[in-house]
Amino acid sequence: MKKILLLVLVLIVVVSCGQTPEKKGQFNFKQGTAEVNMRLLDGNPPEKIYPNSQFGLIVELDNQAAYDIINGKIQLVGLDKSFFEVESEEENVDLLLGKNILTPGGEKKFFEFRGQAKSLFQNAEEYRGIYFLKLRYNTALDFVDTICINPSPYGFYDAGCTVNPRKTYSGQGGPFAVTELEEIVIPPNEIEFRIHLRNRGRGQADFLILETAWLGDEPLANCGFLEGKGISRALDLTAEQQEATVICRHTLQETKSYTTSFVARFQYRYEIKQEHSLRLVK
Amino acid sequence: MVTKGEKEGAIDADFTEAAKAPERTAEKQGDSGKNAEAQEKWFKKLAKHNVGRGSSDSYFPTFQKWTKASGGYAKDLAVAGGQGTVNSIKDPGFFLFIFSGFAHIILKLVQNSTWEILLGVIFMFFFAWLIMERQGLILVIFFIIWYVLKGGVVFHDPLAMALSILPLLLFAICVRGVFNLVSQQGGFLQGANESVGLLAIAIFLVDLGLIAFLTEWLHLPLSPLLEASIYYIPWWPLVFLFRTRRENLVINFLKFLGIVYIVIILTFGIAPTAYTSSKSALPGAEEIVKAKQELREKLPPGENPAVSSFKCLWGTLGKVDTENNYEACVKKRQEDSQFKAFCIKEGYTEDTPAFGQCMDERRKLKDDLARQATGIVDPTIKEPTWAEIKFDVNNFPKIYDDSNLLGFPFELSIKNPRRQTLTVTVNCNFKGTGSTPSVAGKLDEGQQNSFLFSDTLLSQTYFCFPNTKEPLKGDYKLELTARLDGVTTKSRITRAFIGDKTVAQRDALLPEINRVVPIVESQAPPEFARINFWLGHSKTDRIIESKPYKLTLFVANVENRGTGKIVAIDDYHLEFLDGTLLDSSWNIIEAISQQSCKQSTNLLFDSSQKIMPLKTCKVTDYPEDLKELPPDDFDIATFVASLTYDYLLNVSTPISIKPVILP
Repeated sequence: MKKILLLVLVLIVVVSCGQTPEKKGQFNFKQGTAEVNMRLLDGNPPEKIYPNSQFGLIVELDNQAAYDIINGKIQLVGLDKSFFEVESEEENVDLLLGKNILTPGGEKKFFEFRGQAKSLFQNAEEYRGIYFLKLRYNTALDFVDTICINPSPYGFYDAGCTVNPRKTYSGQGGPFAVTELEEIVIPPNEIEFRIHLRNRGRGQADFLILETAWLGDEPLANCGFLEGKGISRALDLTAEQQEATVICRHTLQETKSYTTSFVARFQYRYEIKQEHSLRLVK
Repeated sequence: MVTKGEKEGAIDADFTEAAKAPERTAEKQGDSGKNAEAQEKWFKKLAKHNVGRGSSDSYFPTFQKWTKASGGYAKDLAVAGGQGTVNSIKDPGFFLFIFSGFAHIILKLVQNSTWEILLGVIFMFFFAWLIMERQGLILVIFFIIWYVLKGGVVFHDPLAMALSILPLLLFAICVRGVFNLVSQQGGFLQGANESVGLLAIAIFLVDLGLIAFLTEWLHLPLSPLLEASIYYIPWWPLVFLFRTRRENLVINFLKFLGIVYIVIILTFGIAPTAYTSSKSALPGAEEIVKAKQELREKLPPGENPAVSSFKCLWGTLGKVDTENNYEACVKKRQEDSQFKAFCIKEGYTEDTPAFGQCMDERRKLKDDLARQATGIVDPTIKEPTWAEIKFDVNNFPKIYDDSNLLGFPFELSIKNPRRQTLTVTVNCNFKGTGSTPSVAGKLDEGQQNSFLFSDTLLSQTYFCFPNTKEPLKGDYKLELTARLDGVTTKSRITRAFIGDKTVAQRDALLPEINRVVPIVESQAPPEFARINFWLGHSKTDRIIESKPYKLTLFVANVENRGTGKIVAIDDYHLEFLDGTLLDSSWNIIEAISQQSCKQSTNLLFDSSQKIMPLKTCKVTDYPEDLKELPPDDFDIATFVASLTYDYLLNVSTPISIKPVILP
């Protein structure tokens, strides 16, 4: 019994000492995978809708990603107008803030769709209409990391930093993420970066654009998507292809190893889709 | 020295003696029900004698000569088989396999949902008790109690259903855990073994018809694989067979047959028209069974694919040409068996000219485009318009003259839930058979034989009298008719308009469209007749594209679904769900005459046919807003074909009227 108590005490001490207090204002939201949560409010629409009655559909958007969404649009797709007519089948989402210092919980907004139910077919008992709720928006992805570059990997021992030729990442706070960064030195003084990106969210990305890429304070001009045509900084994605690889080549000025920052910023269009149904009963 | 003949005589005597053993044992025991035990003793005695006498002797004289060469192998096989049979019966798994197998066959014939559910519950209980050795039994018992208390409700949402069963599972685990602790049979955590009961529950639901029902939950297209598993796989018998603990010749052979059977069924499948049932009401066990039965009714029963496979296997050995090879043979057998089942169901007797005509018609239907338009029953309409004539021959007089004034009573029932205004005309007739002359019939003078009816329900008894002063005498066929004029039955169909899109854009929308438009056929309530129709590029395509090289067609036929006759078609027309007619922006014309197909009146229906094709038409134009749609958007539209017709119900029965014998 005494041994168990001692063990518990030790565990408590170890766990407590392992924790570092969180400094306010310095939490990095741009990590992991997070996205916009979309749901219908309970009771809107109601579980049963009666013929020739009005109903409302309230969509809650909760941006849990670390990036704002802009130029968004919510759409109701697939409703049979013979049974359900909605005043407007789309609503614009101009801006929905992501998680940041000012809005650590992200921003939440509600969008209402008003509808009118029509009659059932003859003396049918009920009708169930399936429809899709789609949210499309533009958002960004910021990738920043500190890396070690050694222009002479086959040279004599260098007392500088250690190169990690392949680094993996869990995400940057959005649904689309940089998952891997490879460094390949091409002697005498070139380096190639391969940035692997993947969709980690529940939705689907339409297109991806590499806005900027920097190595320290030098812009990486020679970058392009491997899957694209030529050296293109834009790539159209399909349902089957939700991954991409960016290749950047750069001429190094230094001869000795050094650490520097690698920064890349992407823009992409993302869509999330949910299936719902409306039930018209007698 | 004992001669060979003496030896054989001794063996025969022994055999005869042993054959009498079971009866004697049963007599001694005084209970015929202990015959099984007696049988077992008998077999054991056989085996013992056989071993005792050595391999050169045979306890089965008939096998003696040919088993000699094989070293007594067949003799051992027979003994092992006999012994195996006895041992198998003692195994609960095997016993339950036999019982559930019989039950499955009987239920297929009887088709009673109550019995199906009851037997399913019994099998589920015994599965947990005997096969799983009481593991999961507490959960199964709780499930049965919950099921009965809940009225057998199975939730529409699979997640909700799982969450409903979860508390039962947790409670069962706790109960088992406490029981283990109290009885010192194990630890509390071993109560988790109760989750094995979920297997029994799953088999119970699948056997009831959950697969059929899942077609609605998940809007699964009904593939031949699913059709086969709904119709041809006997779940409980197979489960019990494969859970039989004993391993012997009989059981292994049956298991082998079971595997072969499943492989043939699932590989071959059934000639399909795959569709889903759009039943969406909250189901109970009865609804699940009904869904299976409805689907079974829609699926042409035909010949068991395993039987077709076996028969064609022998008949097509060596034939490789595509018309006579194995695949063609199986396909033809399946199709012919389906046509045969259809014609028998329609009331035709096999090997008659009418039967042959029916078969030819079904074969022609296969190839005829207009006739191929098919429809399904609209499951959301639970109260269709219906009428029937009923009578009891026991209430008919057997002797008749005009001083008797006894009528022949019959009842006309009409269900008219939509309050249609119908003109109902009732009549009767005495049609003479043989040399007996026919006599016209009349109703009781106080009863109107023709009237307007717009109520929801009619149940009226009529009396039919011969319209003659002469007494009825001889053999007649009493014909009772009710004609309903002005019946309207509407069929609906839904289509997705996508405008002009690329192949990639179309493919991207396909999964959504398949969910939003789960049923590609037209649907109508189960009434006397209906229009089956489709609109689009092909019968099975629910998408309409706006492309210059893609022709949009309107193909329809009128089907007589009742047992009576369609006397006349007053009108058919196309409309939207709210009753508005298709306006001038919809141009649907006949290919040759260029006449509009949106409406037609006063058509004659060939009563010798069950299906009458309507003009095949093309859609040359439709509204612009259905043609110009954004790349990621589509529009849904539902069309209704309304059929107004006159229907004649006609029932008849032979009667024999004896002459009046005056005192």
